Amino acid sequence: MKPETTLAKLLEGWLDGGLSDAEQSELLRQLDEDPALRRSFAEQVAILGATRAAVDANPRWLALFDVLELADDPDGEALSFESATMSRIDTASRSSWYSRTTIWGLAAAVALLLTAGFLLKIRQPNPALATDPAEPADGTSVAVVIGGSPEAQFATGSYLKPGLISQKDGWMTVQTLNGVCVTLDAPFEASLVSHDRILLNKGRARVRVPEGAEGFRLESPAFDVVDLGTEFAALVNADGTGTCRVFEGKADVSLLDSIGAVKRTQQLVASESVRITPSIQAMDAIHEADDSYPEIKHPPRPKLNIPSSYAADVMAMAPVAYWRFEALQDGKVPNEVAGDISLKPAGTAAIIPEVGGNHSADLTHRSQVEYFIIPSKTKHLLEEDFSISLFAQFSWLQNFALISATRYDPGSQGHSFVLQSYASFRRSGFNGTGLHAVLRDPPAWDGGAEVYGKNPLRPLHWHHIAATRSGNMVTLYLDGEVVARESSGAMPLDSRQIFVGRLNGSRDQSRMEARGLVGHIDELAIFPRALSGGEVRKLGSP
Amino acid sequence: MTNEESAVVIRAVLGGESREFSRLVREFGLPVRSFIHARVQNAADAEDLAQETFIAAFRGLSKFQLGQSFEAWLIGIARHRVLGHFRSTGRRHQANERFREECLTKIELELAEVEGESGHDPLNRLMNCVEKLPERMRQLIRSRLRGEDASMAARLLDTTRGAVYMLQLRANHQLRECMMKGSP
Repeated sequence: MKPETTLAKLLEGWLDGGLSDAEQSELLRQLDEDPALRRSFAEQVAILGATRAAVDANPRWLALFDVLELADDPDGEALSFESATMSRIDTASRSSWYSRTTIWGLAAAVALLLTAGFLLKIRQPNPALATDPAEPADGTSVAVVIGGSPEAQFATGSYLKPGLISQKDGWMTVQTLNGVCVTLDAPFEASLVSHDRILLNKGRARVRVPEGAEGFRLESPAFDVVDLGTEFAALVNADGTGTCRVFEGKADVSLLDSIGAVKRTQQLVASESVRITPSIQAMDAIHEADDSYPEIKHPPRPKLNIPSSYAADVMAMAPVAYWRFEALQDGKVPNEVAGDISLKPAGTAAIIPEVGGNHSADLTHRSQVEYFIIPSKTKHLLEEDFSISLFAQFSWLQNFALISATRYDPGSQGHSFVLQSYASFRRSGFNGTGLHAVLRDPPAWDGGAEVYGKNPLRPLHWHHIAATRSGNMVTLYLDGEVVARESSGAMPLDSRQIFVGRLNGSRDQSRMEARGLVGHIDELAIFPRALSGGEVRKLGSP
Repeated sequence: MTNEESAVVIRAVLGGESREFSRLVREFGLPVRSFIHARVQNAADAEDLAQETFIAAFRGLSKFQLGQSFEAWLIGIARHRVLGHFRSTGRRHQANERFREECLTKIELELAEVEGESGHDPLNRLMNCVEKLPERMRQLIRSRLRGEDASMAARLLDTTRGAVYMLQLRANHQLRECMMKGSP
């Protein structure tokens, strides 16, 4: 293999992976043996790093802001070294401009025209689709379709991989695998880049970013919008011009130059808008109405219909606890197992009607305190063999605790058991979405045994979820199917304090930190044995 | 910023003017981020690590020996953070990530050598050099910086995946050559 071909192959493995084990081994061997190859590859890697660091949009280092007590910095630019470095470029450009003659002005005008041409060229729609609606989600999926008009390119429930999406008519709403909701109004051409980035080449988009997913970025050829905890919308025209409006919270809008480098950043708060005109590198405040942009659109959440015979089926399996969430009695959710422990709602947790006379636990008020708790010390519900069965509906995809157990001690830190959903949050290290169970002895924040169910969850969809422990073996079920089975080792669980819809009752932790569910739960049952696969399927198919 | 100028700012920060630290972030942000972005593929992770580097530096500023190179000290913290990142995510590593780590281990000395040759005002030179690249190369660089993979870049450029890697290789090489010559 020629040296340049070897280097290109190394670059392929470095940037995108996908090399066979044999190819990787051969390339590593050559790196070992060839100092010139090592040097050339190091030059490539260094340039790639420098380019990414230099051109990437202005980082919003909010944690550092907090540490330096710069949260109230009036211009929001105290740490904006990107702006500083970019201003050095601007300064260099200006000094050249002042010192040279008109011919250089003409050259600059030509450069602007070339820039416009460059932008137009990269906006050419790509005819190939990188997504397949029939394909289930895997580690490379970044979003799921949660609604659309009849003309929508993909059906509701389709998982999307990075790639182009476009429509001439109607609308489509996708939710990224960290819960960001994006409604795209046709005609649009966009590219899903990752769970926290979308490129809008043309069209209108409205974006709602839930707590925890801050930093989501909407890019266009001429400007970027970086979310700082907000709902915003953007319009991108075919000629590269565009507008951006913030409806709630705040966002940084950056004007880009022809290679995507940030020229200037402006922070918008609610009801503020800007117009971007790339040909003159302008970003100006404008007044416009909210209705210039689409609303976040999706069908209403489906409601859960539980037949009247379901409770008898559950009771026939002899649970130790069964909460149906049909109504509160004396301020508590009664336990169907006679004489046993009731659940108490905390904060804004409530019971609401579903359909067919059924009701569910409603945890959608987004207040800081919203969960259910067994208010007193319980017997060990989750020790030795056990099963948990419930229905859950997630308003969006996030790391949400469904049921958590720990020792009965107000000062206790951590947890001994958690059954939760996970999503693609940057800091969690998770990729995709699915179920996650954790067993820890003693109760803690990390360590112990973890079980991941990689089958994807869908927002606004009623899932049946179950977890069983038989001896050392933990099994997770989603909609009646086994999605994970792993040994947890012999681990006693101290589970005398039970929370539903949150990790714990700590007032020191925000709802997001405590993984407070935003969604609904119904028919929660705990059994003192491991249910069989057939029994779980029966519970999951009411 | 010379070592002496850094020392003046650091004394001010240690004297209670914590906001002055932002001057150090502005001055040394790019080399620290370049160092991390060269090693950590996920851009969001790289940014988090860069931020953590500066937070650690701020909190441990009293340990810095005035008169020494502040940039070298920061890079040392960044190196420690990157290693910690690899270790903490190790159990979820896939074959591709293991390959990248093994490559990094083998070229670490050469990479440090190359990074040490960046000279004065590398950003200015890099941006000038990018602007001088042929349009096709600039299109490719922009596509990759958006996070598009080689298949998407190949469709954009109406070429093959293999040709994309060769074009990327040559673009990086031209940038390197251009930067070593100084301003083009």
